[in-house]
Amino acid sequence: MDIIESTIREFLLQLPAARKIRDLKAGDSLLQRGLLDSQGIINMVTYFEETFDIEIRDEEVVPENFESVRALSQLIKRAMRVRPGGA
Amino acid sequence: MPPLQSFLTETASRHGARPALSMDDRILNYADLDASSTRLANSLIRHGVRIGDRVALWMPKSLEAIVSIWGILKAGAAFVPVDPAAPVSRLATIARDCEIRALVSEMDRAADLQNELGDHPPMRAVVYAADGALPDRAAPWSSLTWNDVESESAEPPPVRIDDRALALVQYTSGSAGAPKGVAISHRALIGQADWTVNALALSTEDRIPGYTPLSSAMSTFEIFGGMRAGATVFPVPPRLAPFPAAVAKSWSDQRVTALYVVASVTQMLLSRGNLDALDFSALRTVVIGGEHLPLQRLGDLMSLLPHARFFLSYGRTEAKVRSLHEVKFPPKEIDTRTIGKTAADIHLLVLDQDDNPVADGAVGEMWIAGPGLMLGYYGRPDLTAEVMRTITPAPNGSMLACRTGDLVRRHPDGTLELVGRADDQIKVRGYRVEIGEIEAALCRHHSVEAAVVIAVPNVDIGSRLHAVVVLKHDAQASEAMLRDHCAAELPPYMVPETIEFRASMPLMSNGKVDRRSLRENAARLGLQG
Repeated sequence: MDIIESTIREFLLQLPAARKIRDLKAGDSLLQRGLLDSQGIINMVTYFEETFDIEIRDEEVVPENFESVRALSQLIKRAMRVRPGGA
Repeated sequence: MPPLQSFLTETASRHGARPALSMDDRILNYADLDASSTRLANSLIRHGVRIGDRVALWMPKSLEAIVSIWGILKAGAAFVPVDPAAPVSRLATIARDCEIRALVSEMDRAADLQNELGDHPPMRAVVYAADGALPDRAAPWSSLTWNDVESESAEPPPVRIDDRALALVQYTSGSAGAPKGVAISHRALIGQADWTVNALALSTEDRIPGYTPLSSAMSTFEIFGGMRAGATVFPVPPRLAPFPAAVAKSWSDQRVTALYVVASVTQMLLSRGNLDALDFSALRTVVIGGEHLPLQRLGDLMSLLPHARFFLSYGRTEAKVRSLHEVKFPPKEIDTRTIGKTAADIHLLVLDQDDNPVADGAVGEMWIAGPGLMLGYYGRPDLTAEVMRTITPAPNGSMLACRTGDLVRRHPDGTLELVGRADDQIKVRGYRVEIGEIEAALCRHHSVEAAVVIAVPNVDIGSRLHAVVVLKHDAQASEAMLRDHCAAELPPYMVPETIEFRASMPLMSNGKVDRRSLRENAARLGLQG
């Protein structure tokens, strides 16, 4: 498991709605589990932007990119590639 | 007068082929909506629902949920919308409080329902309004699927009620801790729907998104106002709702013409909705309500949507008033505090502590009188008596009125200015302070997106002021800068002692800022001194 996926998982599991969840597989649906509301989404975007020093564009904050840990990780990796001086 | 559902039957007979509801890739026209809701009414009646009964609705927003509201009304019962995100224990509290006869829910909640309500169920029947197999375990109530409903007759049931009947029990948090049910008549909902349709000139050509949760007081605008006009309502799919840019894009694609949003959602759309990249040329009416919207954000939104008319709206759960104040560009500070026009038969009274009218220009508490009033808190005459009284003198001699807790001042031109809450008024070092004034001052700082001020109890000086601030995207400001800014506008006792920065405000399910959680957090941070 890479560092990005584990950071995402860590963030999600500390949400109040995650109380009942012990395990979160990379492909599990985050939206179906009701983990995220509008508040949670905005907090998460801000957290990832600060943690990974990236910018997530508004039009990328859509259900497809928040469907699972895997989808989120791909979103973050894409953003890291366009980061000025990013790898 | 006939009850609310006569709207639907009337619209269905005149515009049956027009789309009533559209969500995801499904469209329900007015004739289908009328027939489906009649089938549900027949099914509910077959399972014991009678005139005056309560039927709860506990499921995410969907076409079936809206069909159900109409079906419950057609059975002569009142609907009780419960926040779908609320735990089953809250549903149980509400179900017992108003003794529901039936429940409309969805299949994957069946196990929760059996565990929580299986022993002493208040209801006789549960309709599962979404696909799925019935649970194996026998439940102590009749379980129906949507297929069972669809096989009922579409012949209108012989239900005779008029507009004085109970239509809706809306639960709101009570200061005593348990939720209280606000009982609303058909007449109050009809009056509000007619007023909004006329004041906003809504028609069959309108396309209106349904964003506010069905459990919140504001959703009656979309459902009853929109359908009174024969417009098309686009309920926002729950999967999309948390994503500001996705919601905004769907509204642009749907070419929505009229929009109702609460202030905090407006702020979310402005900061994360990608609005400037989208086409909103069809949008002609924007109504913003629920709470105070900072002037700067109102101006930002108006600049983005130069073709739309803007209205700020005031409403109460206890009285279906829905005032509308039209704002012209550029908006002024006073606009954000003005209570606008209401229906002609709604009277807004400004009274002192002894229920006597106050002079123009003086601050008093606003009371509401007229047909929009609630019938009372369900099963709680004691709580009802605390807020509803016959007021003399009133425009019609003496009138039954309901207190709002809002402090207002009447200007010489007749408009009312909101100056604060009767119950949020606090004392700091012996001075009387209106929280809203401090929040407005913080919001005037160019870096501040939103601000909430709370009074943290302190054993030595009564209370300390603590501010929670959300900065604009990419903006910077320090605690010291903001305190300096406040100190430049306010007397020293009104300057917050501590300022906490957050990425966004915590919201309650109705979209309003969750002040309680901010207060509890401030107390945890040890700010109580």
